Amino acid sequence: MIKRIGTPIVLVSLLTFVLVETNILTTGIIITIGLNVAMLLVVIQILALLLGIKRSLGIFNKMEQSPLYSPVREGFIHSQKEEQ
Amino acid sequence: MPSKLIIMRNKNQIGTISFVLTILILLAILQYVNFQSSPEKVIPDGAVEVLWVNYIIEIIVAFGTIGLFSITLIMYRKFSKSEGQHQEVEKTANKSSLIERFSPIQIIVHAVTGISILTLYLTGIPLLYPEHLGWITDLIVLSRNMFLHRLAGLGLLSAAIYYLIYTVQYVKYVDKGFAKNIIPTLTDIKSAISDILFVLGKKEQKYESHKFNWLEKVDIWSVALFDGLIMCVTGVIIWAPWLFSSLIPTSYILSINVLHGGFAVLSLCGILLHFYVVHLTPHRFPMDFSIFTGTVPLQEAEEEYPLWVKEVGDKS
Ligand code: HEM
Ligand code: HEM
Repeated sequence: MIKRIGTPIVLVSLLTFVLVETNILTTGIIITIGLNVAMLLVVIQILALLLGIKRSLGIFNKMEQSPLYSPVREGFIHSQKEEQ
Repeated sequence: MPSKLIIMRNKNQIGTISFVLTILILLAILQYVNFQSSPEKVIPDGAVEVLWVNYIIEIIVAFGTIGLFSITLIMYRKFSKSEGQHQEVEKTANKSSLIERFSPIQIIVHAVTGISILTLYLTGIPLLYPEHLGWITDLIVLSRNMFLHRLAGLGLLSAAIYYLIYTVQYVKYVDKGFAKNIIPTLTDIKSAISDILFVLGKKEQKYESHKFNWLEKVDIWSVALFDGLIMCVTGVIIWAPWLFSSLIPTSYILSINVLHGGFAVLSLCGILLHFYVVHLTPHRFPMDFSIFTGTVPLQEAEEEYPLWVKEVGDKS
């Protein structure tokens, strides 16, 4: 369910920009909601990006500690263990 | 320490050279612009004639938003039609076998660009719609808002300059075939058409993708040209218009302001589409971490980019 909630949100905010930029509808509560939803998505993206950067930094840190470290190699070793 | 990393991984100095050159260019730019935080607009409003270029910009922006909305709809239909298939792959996939897709430099550049652009949206877009989003500017306070906008603008500018210098050197000295991955080809047009036909109910025509599929190439080029080039150049011009007043008439500077505002909307719509594709499609929800870890599961890559996996296999 939650997987599907993003689609209408993105479509609504894109549609708002279509309405505003084509001058079909430029004022009113619908446009206010649509534009604010778009800005909300921007804020969510900032949070998501920070979460992602945290993960990158973890990997970079491991690389610095051991020059031989690579996520691909670690995954490979992991999959070998799984097979055994 | 990114610079240490760069040397460690690539065993060449390209990253460091690009870094130093970027810093020098930024320092040169900073000589001429200032972070003046007065809330007054630098650009006069409506003092000069409105040029016909403005109407063209408005038309481009209007059609651009319609185009991006349509692509999002197409992707939505495509993903929901082929959802079952993805679930099958997902269930049986071995998530431990990975393949490297992005280098640490690409990861860092994506992160810096992303954070800068998102801050630019948050501080720039409310200026276009004060009636609806004015509260955001009020919250940040106008003068600090513009300061933040310029700071984030510098972030985007530095990422763009750095990656341009880096890529040019990389193609020249390390891997001549690098550019091949992102240059649009006839196959991309065919696969875009095939996606559209699939959505319209025609039979699905399987196409095999190289490292980046057509939409990812659209993404790469639109960010490079629209954000990296147009937004940065117009941004610097309206930041310090007095530098350009002998070159560009005032009415044109006003048009450049309109261009900056109009393309800001297009850029945001483009990133909303990107956000949709990497977060909200059912098989990627809640988030695709590949650009942060640099790797993707091999099996998924074989499914999505078979020609790329084959090429990497042949090379090694
Ligand atoms: C939370 C925010 C974001 C996440 C999670 C995210 C995630 C991703 C992922 C997973 C990819 C790799 C797609 C692939 O497998 O090829 C990617 C690529 C890319 N991202 Fe982002 N991204 C975010 C924000 C941004 C922003 C704000 C920009 C704007 C500059 C951006 C620009 C790009 C570009 C140009 C590419 C390469 C083209 C492509 O593969 O689509 N991303 N991003
Ligand atoms: C994707 C990137 C960007 C977005 C979305 C964006 C968005 C905006 C918007 C919407 C405005 C208001 C325009 C208006 O009032 O008509 C604005 C103004 C401005 N932008 Fe950007 N911008 C971006 C990049 C940049 C960059 C890279 C710089 C500088 C290096 C910059 C510098 C400025 C300045 C100085 C103003 C103020 C103009 C004035 O005095 O009214 N922007 N931006």
